[in-house]
Parts: sequence; C-alpha cells; structure tokens
Amino acid sequence: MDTSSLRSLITGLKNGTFSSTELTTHYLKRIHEASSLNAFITIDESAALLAAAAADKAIKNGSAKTLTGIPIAHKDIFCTNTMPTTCGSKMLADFYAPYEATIVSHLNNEGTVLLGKTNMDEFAMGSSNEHSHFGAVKNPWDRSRVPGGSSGGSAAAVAANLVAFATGSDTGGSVRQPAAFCNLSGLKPTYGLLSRFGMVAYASSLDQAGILAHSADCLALVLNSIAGFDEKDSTSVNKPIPNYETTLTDSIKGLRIGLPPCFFQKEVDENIQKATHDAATFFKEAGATIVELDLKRHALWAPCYYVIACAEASSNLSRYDGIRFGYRSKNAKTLTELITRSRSEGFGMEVKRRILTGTYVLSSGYFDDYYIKAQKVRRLIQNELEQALSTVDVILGPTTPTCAFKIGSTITCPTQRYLADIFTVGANLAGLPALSIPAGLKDGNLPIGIQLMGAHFSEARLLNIANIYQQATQWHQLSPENHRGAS
Amino acid sequence: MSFQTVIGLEVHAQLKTQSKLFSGTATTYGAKPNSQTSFIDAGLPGVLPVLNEAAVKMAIQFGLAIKARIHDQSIFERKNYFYPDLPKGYQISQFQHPIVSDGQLKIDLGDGQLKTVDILRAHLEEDAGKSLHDISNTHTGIDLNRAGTPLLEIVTTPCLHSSKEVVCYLKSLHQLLLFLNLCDGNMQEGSFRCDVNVSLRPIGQQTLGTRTELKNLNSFKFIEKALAYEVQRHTNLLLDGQPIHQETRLYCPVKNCTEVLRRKENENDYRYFPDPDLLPIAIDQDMVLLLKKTMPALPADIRSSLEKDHLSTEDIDYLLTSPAVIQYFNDVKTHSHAEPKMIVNWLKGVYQAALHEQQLSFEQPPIAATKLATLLNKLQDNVISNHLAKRIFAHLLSKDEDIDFLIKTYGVEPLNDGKDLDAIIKKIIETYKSQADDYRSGKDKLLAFFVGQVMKEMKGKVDPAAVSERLRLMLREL
Amino acid sequence: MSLKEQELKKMAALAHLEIDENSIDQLAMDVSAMIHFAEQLHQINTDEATPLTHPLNLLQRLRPDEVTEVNVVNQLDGIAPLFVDDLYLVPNVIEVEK
Repeated sequence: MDTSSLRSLITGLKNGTFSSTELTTHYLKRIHEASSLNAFITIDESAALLAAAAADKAIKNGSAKTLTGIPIAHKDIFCTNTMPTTCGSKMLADFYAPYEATIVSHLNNEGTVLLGKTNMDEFAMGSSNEHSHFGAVKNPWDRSRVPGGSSGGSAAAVAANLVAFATGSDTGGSVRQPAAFCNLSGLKPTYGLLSRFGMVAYASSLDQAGILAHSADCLALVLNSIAGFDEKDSTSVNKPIPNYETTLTDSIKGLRIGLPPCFFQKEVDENIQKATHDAATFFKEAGATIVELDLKRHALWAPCYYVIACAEASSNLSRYDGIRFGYRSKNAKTLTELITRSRSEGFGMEVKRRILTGTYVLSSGYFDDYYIKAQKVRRLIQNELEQALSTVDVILGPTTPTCAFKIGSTITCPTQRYLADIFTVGANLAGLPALSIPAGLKDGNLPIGIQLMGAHFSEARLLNIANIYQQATQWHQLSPENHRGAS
Repeated sequence: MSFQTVIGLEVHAQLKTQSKLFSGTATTYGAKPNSQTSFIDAGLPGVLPVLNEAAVKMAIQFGLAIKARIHDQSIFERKNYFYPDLPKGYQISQFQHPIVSDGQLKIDLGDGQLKTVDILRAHLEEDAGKSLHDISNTHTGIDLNRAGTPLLEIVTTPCLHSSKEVVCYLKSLHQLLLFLNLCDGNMQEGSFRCDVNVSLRPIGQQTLGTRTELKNLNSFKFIEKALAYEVQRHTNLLLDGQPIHQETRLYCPVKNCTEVLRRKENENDYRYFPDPDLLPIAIDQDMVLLLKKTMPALPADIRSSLEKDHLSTEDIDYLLTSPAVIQYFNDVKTHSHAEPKMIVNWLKGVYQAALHEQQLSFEQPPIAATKLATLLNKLQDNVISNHLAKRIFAHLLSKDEDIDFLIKTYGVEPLNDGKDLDAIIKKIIETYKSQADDYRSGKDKLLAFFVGQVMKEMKGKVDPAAVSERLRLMLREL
Repeated sequence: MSLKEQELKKMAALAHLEIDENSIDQLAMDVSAMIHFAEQLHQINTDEATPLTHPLNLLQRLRPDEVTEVNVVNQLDGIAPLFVDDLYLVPNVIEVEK
C-alpha cells in the first residue's frame, strides 16, 4: 500500500488497489504499535471499520467523493457526537457532545473514516502538548522531545503515519508550530474561512481550525472540503470559495517575497536561519524577488497575543462550572464550593495560569492599561502587516526559533515557553492565513519548518508557493523512519 | 434639613420575539422546565450565538418612539459573573455602545402637569434562566427556558423625584411598549421588570447622594411601598449622620422593608469587554425609515386624535388600556355612525362587564365589532331603546343572530300604550293580595313573581323592565 | 511589578478558582511574569490607534426570527451531572458565612 501521500491513497482507493477497510485496518494497527507516542486520547475501532465499509460501498457504486475512505483523526477540541470530546482536560474527560462541529460534519459528509481523537494541550493552551490531562505526547522524530502544541497529538499521528491527515486548531501557532517540529505541512487559514461552530473556544478572535498533512497538495485537497460559510458561526465569512487545487502549479515568477531581518535574531537557531535563507534562495532562483521587510512591531506580537488570548480565554472558560456537563466536584457542600472546586479540580495549572492572567487584564483598574492597550497594539500590528502585504505577496520566515525541545525542559519557566510562538502569533492577531512547511533537518534528525504568511484570503497563493517548493525539494517526504542520512 | 428624593429607573422588558436573542429556541411562557433550552442556551462547549433580527428591529422602533438616537453601530459586550442560571458564566449585553440612547418620554402627572423623562439609553441583552428554591431542602433547581430570551433594558437619568412620577412613568412606558407590540407587559410573568435607584440630597445641592438599588419589585404597589420605606431609611441615616452604603437591596413584601443583598455580590467586577463571538451591529438608514413607516400608532398620537372626538380623559384612558381596546373601538367606529361617546360608553360599561364576567378580553371579543356597530346604529337612530339594545346585546353574547330578527323577536308595545298594562297590573295585585302585602312589608324578591304574572297575562309582549318599574310604583300606591 | 498574594486571591475569587497554599507562591510568580511580559506593550505609543476586536472588518449577520430548535431535554439530561425532574440541581446554600 502506497501511503506516502494523500493523493496516492486517493488513487489507490479509486483504482481498487486497496480498500478503505484494508487501509483503516492498516492504520489502526500502526496506532496500536505506536501507542507509546500517546498521540490519541480516544480510538474507536468498530466505528472506524463501519465507516470504512460504508466508504467501500460508495467507492464501488461510484458515489464516492474526493476524500471518501480516507482515515483521519480530529484534534480532541472538535465536538464529535460518537466519541468523547475532552480538550485534553479532566474537566471534559467524559463529555459526549450531543452535536458535532461543522468541520467534523464536512469531513463526515466527504466520507472520511474517523479513527479517533488526538491528544492536545489542555483547552489548546500550550506549545508542547505537555499540558494534557492524558499525558504528554512524544515527537515521533525523537521521543525524548515534544511534538509541539497545542495540536501535538494530531502532528504526531500524521508524522508517524497513523492517519492520512488530521485536523488541528491554531490560536497562536498551535497547528504551524507542531507542523514545524514534526516535519509536516500545517495550515492556519484566514480567520473566518473555517467555521468555529463546535470547536471548543479558547480565544474566539484568534482561534481558527487548521489542517496537518504531509504536503501542501494534501492541504489543498482537504481545504476544499472544509472551507466555507456557516450560518451557525457569526464570525464565519460569506465569500465564494475557490478550488484550492487548480492553482497549485501556477508559476511563481515575479512573486514578491518579504523577508524581515527581525526574524533572524540571535535567539533563532542558526540551522533554522540557514534553512530559511536557503528557501529564499530557492524562490529567487525560481523567479521570485526577495524584499527586505521592516516589521518594527514584531517584538510586540507575543505580549499582545498573550494579553488578548488570556482575556478571552478567562471568559470562554467560565461555562465550566460542574452544573450542566463535565466534571463536577464531589467535595462541595455549597454552591460556591461546587463551582470553585469543580473548576479547580478539573483544570490543570497552565489553564489556571491563563485564566488568572486573563481575569487580571480585564479587571477594573487594569483594563485600560492591559486589555485596551493590547487591542490598540493589535490594530497597529495588523496595520503594519497589511501595509507590508500590500508591497509583497507573501512574508517568509522561520516558523519557530528553535527545533523541538526536550520534554520537561521549559516547565520551570513559563515565559520561556511563550517565546516558541514569536513568529506564529502575528497571523492570528491580524487574522491572516499562514502555513508551515518542512525546510530541512537540524543535525540530520530534527525537523525545521519555514512559514509563509499572506494577505487575507490568499490561501490559494500560499498553497501554490508551498507546492512549487515541495515539487523541487524533498524535505516534506522525509519521515522518522526514512530520514537517516538526509541533509 | 430637607431632602430631595432622586430616582433613576431601569426597566427590563422582554421582547415579543418568536425565538431567543441568540438562538432559534422558542420563547413561550410556561413550558416544561428545560424543554425550551437549546445547546446554545445551555452554554455547552463550542456553541456560538447568532443575532435575532426582530430584536434589533424592536429596539430601533422603541428608539424611534422616544425620539432617541439610534446608533448606526453598536457592540455586544460580555458581563462576566458566576451564577447557576447564567450558563456561560457571562451575560451577553451592551455596555459602552448601546443601540439606542438619549430619548425622551412625556408623561402626564394629572392636573395638567406634564413631565419629560429623559431616557439615557436602551440596549439589548439576554435574560438569565430561573432558580427554583422551593423544590427541596437541600437543592435549588435551575430551569434554563428563560435563558437567552431577548430583553430591552431601558434606563432613565436620575430625573424622577417621587413615587407618583415613578409610577406614572412606568405606566406610560408599559403602555408604550404594549402599543408598539414589543412586549406583553405581564409583570406577573416577568415580562416587565423594574429596578429602582434612589438617593437623597439636601435641597439645593447639585451633586447626587449615594444611591441604593432596589430589586424584586413585581407590582406598582410594591414599588410605591419599597420607595417609601427606602426614602425613610435614607432620611433617618442622613439625619443621624450615618453613611449610606452603595448597595443592592431586595424589597420584602411580607415585612414591608428592604434588605441588603449580601455585600459580596455587590462587589462584583464584571470585567466588561466586547464579545469576540459577535460582530458590531450595523443599522442602515433604509431599515430605520422602513420601520418608521410601519410603526404602530403611539398612545400620545392616538390620544390627540381622540381628543378631537370630544372624548373625556377617562374615556381616552380606558380606550388606551390596551391596543386591542382601541383597535376594537376603531373597528366599531368604521362601521357605525353612532357618536364616539356612545361607543365608548358601551365598551366601558356593558361590554367590559360582560368581558369581566366571562373572563375574556378585547383580544378575543365575543361580539364582533361589526355586529356591535350595527346594534349601535339602531340605537343611534332611535329604532330601539337603550334597554332593548342591552337585551339584544345579552342575547348576542350567548348566540349570534341577525339584529333585525332579534328586534322583531323582542318586539314590544310602545310604553305609551300603558293603559292596558295598568289594568292588568291592578288585576294581578288584587288577585295576589297576600303576596302584595308581603312585598310591601319588605319581601322584595316577590317583585319577580309579580313581573312573571304580568308577563304571562301580556303573553310576553311587553318589556319586563318597564313592567317591573310600573309594578313597583303601583304596589306602593295600592 | 509583582502580583501580591492578596491580588492573586482576589483574581482567583473572581474566576472561581481555589489555589491551595502550596501552589500560591509559584502561581503568583508565574502570573506576575506574564503581566510583566505584557508590560512591553507600554513601550509603544497607541494614541492614534483604535482597539481591534475582530481581525476582519465585518458586521453582524442577522438571523430571521424563527423557531428552529426543538426540545432536547433528554440530551441535556444525558450529559448533566445532576438533573432531576427536568431541572439542573445545585446546592441550596450559596456560601457558608465565615
């Protein structure tokens, strides 16, 4: 079975080389063998096999759609009504949503085969997947290291070839950073392109669903199935959706690529810097122009993000009170104890840290100096990026300042952890689409990712640029098993 | 030291929409607990709000009616606090950018005294669920049916100075909301709720004193009582040199006093911030103009036009009790040439009494306006007496029939042909001498017996009321 | 600027979180560090900027006033921790007076 790419899977199924049932069985076996990665929270074998059988039927009678029969996983932040939605938290460990996320519905309607829900940092708060009630996830490339977060489980599952692709969510880089750490292509589309209905909220004005797959080509195929207006989401954009596949091979001659010098500070690993510069050289040789971009406000991206994300999160997470669903403390005699203890026993430390920080920045006396200030800075950051993107077609840079770090290495210093997001949060603040693609390996075994960020609704262009890069390079084809000796 | 009472009012009016403010759930009152609670109303993980168009239109109509400023962009904000009947842990409301602001309502305090009440703002927000405290000794039950119902919160400036002004304003506001068809105004069901902010200041002082907020005021009576108590309480404290704490107090009808809500709840920092799940509401001028055109008539305007019909204030007040009453009146007037005064008298008197007895209202009138119009026309033209009209009306209540037919059926000899009647009455009184004596000594009920006897003799062709009157007279004389 | 223990407790009360005595110092330090990190925002002049809540310049869509939801009380019951006679149950007493 050629499971090297989504396209090969689609071809194989279409031609009858293998069935969805065979494919699903294959992946379920791999999942079991790789259980020490801890990529999954829930696996539903029988449901998966039933779905695969249904897919096989559809393929036989010609009613199959593009992704019918393809085994996938959803990050455990997307509500599914056939298996629990835990958000990596004790608070929702036994939560069975009586509804499903719109993204889940889209992929169900496509006939994909859901194998299970992937592990994640609790309530999407984290960059390492070490903050999960269900334990840390390991990076398939080096099991002593983190896969990135918060979509660490999805990244590990795709990187270890346990599924063809997986969904993730990205509030400050939670799809792109794990993609970079695990040698995947990860896309965070424009804010509002994908419905947020049924995707448990962390920070509503920053959250966006995303996709983790092996290549930009795969991303385009999946995006075609899930993009589009949803009337259940007031922030969903009502715009005609292009076919993201048709422009994948467009020429990039004349493309203007912005490369900000401020992305190459000394804190950025020199291997990552080199890989990024090499990519720029590739694009230049392919006919693009590299333009130096001055992003004066870059240093403010991370602090701005954390104020806004924590503020919105502190409010979004107020619904978890032990009364209508989820974890309920057994140690409560009064109403106040019920709410307070359910929350305190149900939430992990990182979530509590962010709720407290968010409460602080919204509280009277601090609201203007922190929250309003951050919103004003957000305006300035967006203005600068939009201004930059009116002079170039895309902004290129590293996805992360370092490669995957060792599990447990940043526990003692929370703010150190937050620096992992310094390149990714800008896209969330401005609502811009951005994707990360593999661009090399450090020391021959640690993946490096580069990021492409574009103007609102320029996903097609970003995927096109990434695809051209991937047609000429092989970084994205490397896997934990076959990468030895690559340089 | 004399003090001036300063009062500001906050009214929460439940808007008469079919569905809730942010979800498509029904809003009917009295449904089984949690049977009108969707996943969105229950604040489950991942659900999102979508704004009800009708609620926005209703807010605009209110704004137009009070000649307020209608903001072309307004924002929903989250008011964050924890309570079991608040599923999301925050209420979606409007804070810094309400949809309507700076309006006015003119009220008539009586005796020619008019006052303009300044309405600072009116904004949209969602209602909370209900806590049921009486279901057990240990637990409170939460019903979320009401959670998410649209409310229009209407806030005045502190421009009222007495109970009388307060009640007058509330009644006028209540009437306005009814006539705009925005709210059913049912205070018992909680569709129209009022919180009172009251403070005192020495007469002549410009700055306001410390205010207290009064809640749990379910009727105009309670409002008057609570205010009276609270003003006295403030007065006593001020005269004693004691401080007044800014706090929320509940009115207790049983003890007729106000009691402080636990201080802790008073110190809540709501951390308002714009709701990131909702976008700014934009109102374009075309929508406003269309709503202006299709607005129902305002009570003040209806009053002016009724004054042209030479109706008294009491008559007009009666007609403005509810939109159904004035609608009925207008329907009758359209089909009848009877004097407006006559129509009002009939509605106020005979019809209202019948409605009261049968527990009906002008919303479902037992006699159609066109029918009443026909009847009143006959009366106006002197074809029938007032008395006969009432008999026919009574008949129509139980059975709908053609009025001309009824007139023929109840057709009576004209009363001036009284000689025959007198002779028969005389004969009957003489026949039933002992009953006549009993009647004269106080047994009034026997009158009916005599009426019956006379009617039998006359074969029913006489007006029993006229007979009764004649009998009464003659029984005394003979 | 470091967060005093008292301030942290006040935030915790607002957020309905209990912090046990063992964690309080670390948590106070962590949250202080976050706030300190956020203070970098004060370096930039924002006098000319208006606050940004949504990244796209969009306006709220209006939904027609129609009843589209059905009675789901059974499903609410199915996921509720304590649901009796169609009501969510919580303790009667709000707080024990100290």
